[in-house]
Amino acid sequence: MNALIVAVAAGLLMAGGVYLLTERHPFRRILGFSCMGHAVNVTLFEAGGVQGNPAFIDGTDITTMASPIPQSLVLTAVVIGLALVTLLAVTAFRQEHH
Amino acid sequence: MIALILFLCAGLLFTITRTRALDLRLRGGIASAGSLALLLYFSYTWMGSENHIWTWQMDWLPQVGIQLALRADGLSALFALIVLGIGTVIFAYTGVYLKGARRSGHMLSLLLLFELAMLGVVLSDDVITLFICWELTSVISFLLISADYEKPSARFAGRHALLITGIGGLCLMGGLLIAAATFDTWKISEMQQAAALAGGLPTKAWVLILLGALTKSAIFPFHSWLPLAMAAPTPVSAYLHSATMVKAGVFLLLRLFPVLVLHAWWAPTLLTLGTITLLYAGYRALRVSDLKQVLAWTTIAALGTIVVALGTGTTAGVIAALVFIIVHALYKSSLFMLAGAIDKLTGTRELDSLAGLRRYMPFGALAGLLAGLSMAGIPPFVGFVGKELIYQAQLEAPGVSILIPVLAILGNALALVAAVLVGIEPFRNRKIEKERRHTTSTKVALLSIFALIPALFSLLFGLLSNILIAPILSDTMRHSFALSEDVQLGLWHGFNTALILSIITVAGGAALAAWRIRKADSWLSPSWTPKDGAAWLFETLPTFATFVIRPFKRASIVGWIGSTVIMVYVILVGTNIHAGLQMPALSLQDFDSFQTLVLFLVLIGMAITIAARHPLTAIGGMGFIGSALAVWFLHRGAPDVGATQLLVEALSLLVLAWAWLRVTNTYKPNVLPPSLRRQHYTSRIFISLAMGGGLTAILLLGGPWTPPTELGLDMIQRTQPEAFGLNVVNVILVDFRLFDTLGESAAIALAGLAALMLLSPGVVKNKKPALPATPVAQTAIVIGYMLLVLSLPVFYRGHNEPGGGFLGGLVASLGLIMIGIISIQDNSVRLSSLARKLIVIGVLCTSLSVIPSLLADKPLWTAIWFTVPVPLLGDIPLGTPVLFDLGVYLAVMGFGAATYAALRRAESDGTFDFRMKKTGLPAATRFLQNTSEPTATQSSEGGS
Repeated sequence: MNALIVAVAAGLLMAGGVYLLTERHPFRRILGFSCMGHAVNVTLFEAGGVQGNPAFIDGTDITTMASPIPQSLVLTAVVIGLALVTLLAVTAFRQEHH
Repeated sequence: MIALILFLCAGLLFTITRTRALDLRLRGGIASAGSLALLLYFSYTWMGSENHIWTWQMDWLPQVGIQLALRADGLSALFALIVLGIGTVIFAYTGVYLKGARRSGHMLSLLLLFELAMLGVVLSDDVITLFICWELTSVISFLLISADYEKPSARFAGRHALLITGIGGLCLMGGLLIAAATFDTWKISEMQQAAALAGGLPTKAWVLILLGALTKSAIFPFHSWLPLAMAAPTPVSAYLHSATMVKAGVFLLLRLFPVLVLHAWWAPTLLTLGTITLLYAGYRALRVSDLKQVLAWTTIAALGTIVVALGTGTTAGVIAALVFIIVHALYKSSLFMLAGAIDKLTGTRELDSLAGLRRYMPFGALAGLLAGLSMAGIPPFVGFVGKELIYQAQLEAPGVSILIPVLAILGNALALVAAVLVGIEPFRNRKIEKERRHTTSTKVALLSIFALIPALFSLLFGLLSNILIAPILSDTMRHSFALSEDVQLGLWHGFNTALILSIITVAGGAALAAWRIRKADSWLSPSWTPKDGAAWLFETLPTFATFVIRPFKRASIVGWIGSTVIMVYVILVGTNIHAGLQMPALSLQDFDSFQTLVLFLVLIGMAITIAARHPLTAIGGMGFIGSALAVWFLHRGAPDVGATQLLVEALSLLVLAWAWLRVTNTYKPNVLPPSLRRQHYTSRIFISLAMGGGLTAILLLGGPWTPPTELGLDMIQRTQPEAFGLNVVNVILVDFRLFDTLGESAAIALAGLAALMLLSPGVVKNKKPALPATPVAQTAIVIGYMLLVLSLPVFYRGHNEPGGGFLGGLVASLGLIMIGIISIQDNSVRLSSLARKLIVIGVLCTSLSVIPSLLADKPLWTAIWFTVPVPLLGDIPLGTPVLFDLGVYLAVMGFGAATYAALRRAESDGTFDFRMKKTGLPAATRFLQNTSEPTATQSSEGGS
């Protein structure tokens, strides 16, 4: 059931992202990009099995830990998403005024 | 070897030095002296090595046996000496010639790099080294041809050259790889032996290698790029496009001659193509009036001559080709340099407006005479020696038709005419229509003297050919071709057939020259000029490309993005269906109400964003999505990701709101005529739902997804004992999977720099009056500083607890932006320079943290730890990952500062008009009018 909910949420995020991407307004397209990025991050989390206790070496049973590799991948993806959004925003901003 | 490295460093120093920092003539002189020193050093080392074979190698990819291997036998040494020798003169010439020209320092450093790459081509003994250097010469040639990139013609010429030599390079790579796989070695010298034993190369490899060589050497039908390459500055033409780079192709043919010649197609192919090239290019040379064009076509003709000599497949042919390569390098570089001097003196290169120049440039006239006579093949110049040898080789070779030497006579006669046209005619006193007076200068005199140097060598080598050239040729034959033949060169070989042919050539050429000069107008009439076959390629390729992309690139945005989405969909869903689908067992037992609630909030945010009519609402909706997702990440057991998501959301909302609200504070949905509206929305919703549904299907049916994989467990177990950390995610970021993070921090640093570049119009014109600071603002500044301070512990504790470089950097960015926004004075200039420094230092930290592992001779970026005793705090562990993470921290902080500074600076600058636009077309529509025409038409229809 949980898998179904996450899958539907990721799908709707992606659908919303694509919908925004087909707008004409540059800034709304940027929002679309951002949404698609969120959808992909959720997918990575779900598919990578990130569920469980935080991955810290503090005596927790390691088999109950959330898988750390997808976490680190998503972490960098989130930061790169910021770089992308900023770059797109600055480009759109400049385009409007040049 | 050390000399080579020093030379490279010098070259890079030139690249870094600003153009005006050091006089270009001085820099040219230094480069020239460097070349000469390298030439002497190389000759000394090479002469001193055993059997005159100098080798040097270093492991590059030992796992697959690839080495950085250099080997200089006679053949390589001969070419290396040509490259270095001509380079010595060219660099000095370039310094004088290009002084004051735009991007001159840039060109000089490219020339230096070219010299190194070309040395790599002729000296490398490893297939991969050879290929890389080969491609480098192509790329540098491209950069130099299109150096004047504001001109469309220069860009076209560069592209043309790169396309042809690039395709040739790929063929060469294919051929060499097949050969390497067949004979199981990367070494060219070993490959030669193995191939000789096996009776030659496989036909595939043979054809591909030949294609590589012929495209590089501009042999028909691949010749069209060379005349276009004359768009490059004259020193470049003199060095790359006559003396050295175009010889790389024939060098390769010579290098692999013992192997290639075994194939049955060798003689027919090379003799045919060589002869066609020789005659066609020789003829075209007489049909153009631009000095450099004449020289370019004669270069192609000369390359044809060399290929014909090689095509005979005999020892005599090889010797003739080698001598002719020396001959051509000398006279052609001299003539090109002379063309440059003439250009500088008169401002034109049109042959029919050049006459009587000997009054202005006596040294130039002498250089032209000497080089021209060598080109024409008149004794006692080395050109005569070369021509005699070629006739001899053609006559003596078994199985070569008598037609070949007969056609060669015609080709050489054409070359003689060209020699008269460029070497003698401009200097002769004769009547021309537009006679002009010129003022001579030291610059022209200097340039002429440089042009004279190779011309004098033509004479010297002609007179003393047996002493100066013969020994190295004998050596080459012995060690490169395993033939113990003593090469004897000389001007007088007795009264033989070759001499008769020479006499016929000179007589015929003289008659032809008289005709060409008398009837210049009819020779130059454009109606005669045939169209180049390669132009066809450049007309066809874009048409073909348009044909291919037409179904995908549509005029409407929906169609365009839709086709992309459908492609992704087909690929992703298709591969998943192919892999097999499985419906998971759905039960209500694992229903997680908290998770469901959070995801529901995400979707509410989504709905707000889509339905929003005002930018702030849309951005607010995005904030909703981002924050809810952060909570979801936390809930799933990823505190670091959750925290990062939260901070990133805050930053990106700030940036978006700032940029967007400055552009417009309204949002209009797509303006469409009513007839189209329905279709438009239907198709958009369909595409979106298709994509979203695909993702849902993959996630749901593509599983089961197995929680922590073995790799993950392995990393968890190694975290404490190997990386001395407790936070597994952070350890993965800064240690186990460091390369990913390195790339990512570089990407974010670049995004920051790009923001600065894009929004920095330069001088601040229109400073707005500062607002007085309110108590709230002052509090905010304090909070900003607190955030800055707080970011340090966030960064430092990352190794063991949630935190780390990314998080710390984001906190610091927020702090900086907060201070920046509130501060009274416009501090964007200060912040932008701070941002640059932070980014540079951050990237340096991440990159330099490799050094300890290099020093310890371990795999790159192996973590090295040590403890530092600090009073009061006890032992503090420090390691390269900490340095690396510090780099990430600084880079991210720099990114935040850069983004802020860019936007603020654009705001305070008068270039941008930031008044809210409430009337007229929304700015977004204007944006679209620039990008796609049909939609713009639609919107204006809808508006009216």
